[in-house]
Amino acid sequence: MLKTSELTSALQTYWQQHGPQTVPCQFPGVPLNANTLAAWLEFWITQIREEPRRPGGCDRLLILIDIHCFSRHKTDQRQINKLVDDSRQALKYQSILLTKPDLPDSNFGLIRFHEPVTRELTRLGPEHTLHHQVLSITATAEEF
Amino acid sequence: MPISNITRNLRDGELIIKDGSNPAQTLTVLLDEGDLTWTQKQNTIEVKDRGSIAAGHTRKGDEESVSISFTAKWTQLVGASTPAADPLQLYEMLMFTNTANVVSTSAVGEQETLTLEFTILDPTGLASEKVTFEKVYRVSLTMSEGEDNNLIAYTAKAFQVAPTVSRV
Repeated sequence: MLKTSELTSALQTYWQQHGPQTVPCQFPGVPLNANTLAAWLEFWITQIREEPRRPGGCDRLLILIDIHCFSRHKTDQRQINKLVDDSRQALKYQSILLTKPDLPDSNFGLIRFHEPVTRELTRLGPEHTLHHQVLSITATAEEF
Repeated sequence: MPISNITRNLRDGELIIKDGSNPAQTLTVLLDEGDLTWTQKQNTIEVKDRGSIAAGHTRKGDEESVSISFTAKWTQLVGASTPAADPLQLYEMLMFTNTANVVSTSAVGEQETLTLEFTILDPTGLASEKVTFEKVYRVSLTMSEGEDNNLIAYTAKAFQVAPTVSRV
């Protein structure tokens, strides 16, 4: 059985290593004071879904990941787009082998990312200077 | 006798394919879509009296074999037919791939056939049932790509009027 703790660990570790390194990233439960930051990311595993299937087979889970990109860069208005592009590049079509933390050679599953969707959530108005875009990407996690 | 009035769904089903080896090679179809379908047809000869049904009568027509179909996700297409140590795969069993050593359940010279066993487990554990299709021969095997997974669509006929339904 694929455990959500193992999936979360694998996804967060992969993102820490391959996601954009130029801005800090917040993970759920980990505090990040964004008051003084010009840009940052938030990494959310929004949904883990299991489709109807016969019992007895290997686990197969559909995962939805949302990467929230924030930027209030005063001179570079396109920084938000660069963050989204870097995030897309880091995830789309990539695969992550799942291994037990104590047994690095024991692969027991695979996460495969599909195609991402980007949505603009920036609020308009003179008082709103924060750019906000969300990159949503689905992935399939399968047990060997 | 235990009777359960709880409805069944795809989570209660299990499809097993057996060949004619002794003992039989069995393959549990784990990645099927839960869309097993079978149809038991009945032919009737309508004899009308000068076009009138009221004055006419019916007679039994020819017997019809049972139509079966199911769909399953692809993983590996070939296994046992490549190095024999690998596990038998659905594709090579349905196709009687030469080197996979799948043996027909029919006599030599007849069409190659398999046995399909569909078990429906009673959620209450009282009245599980098994539907057995004998002499199942392939009509078509359609392989298709998909966004989430590729699919094998199998259509077949069982050379019998109806499958055997038994309590297990």
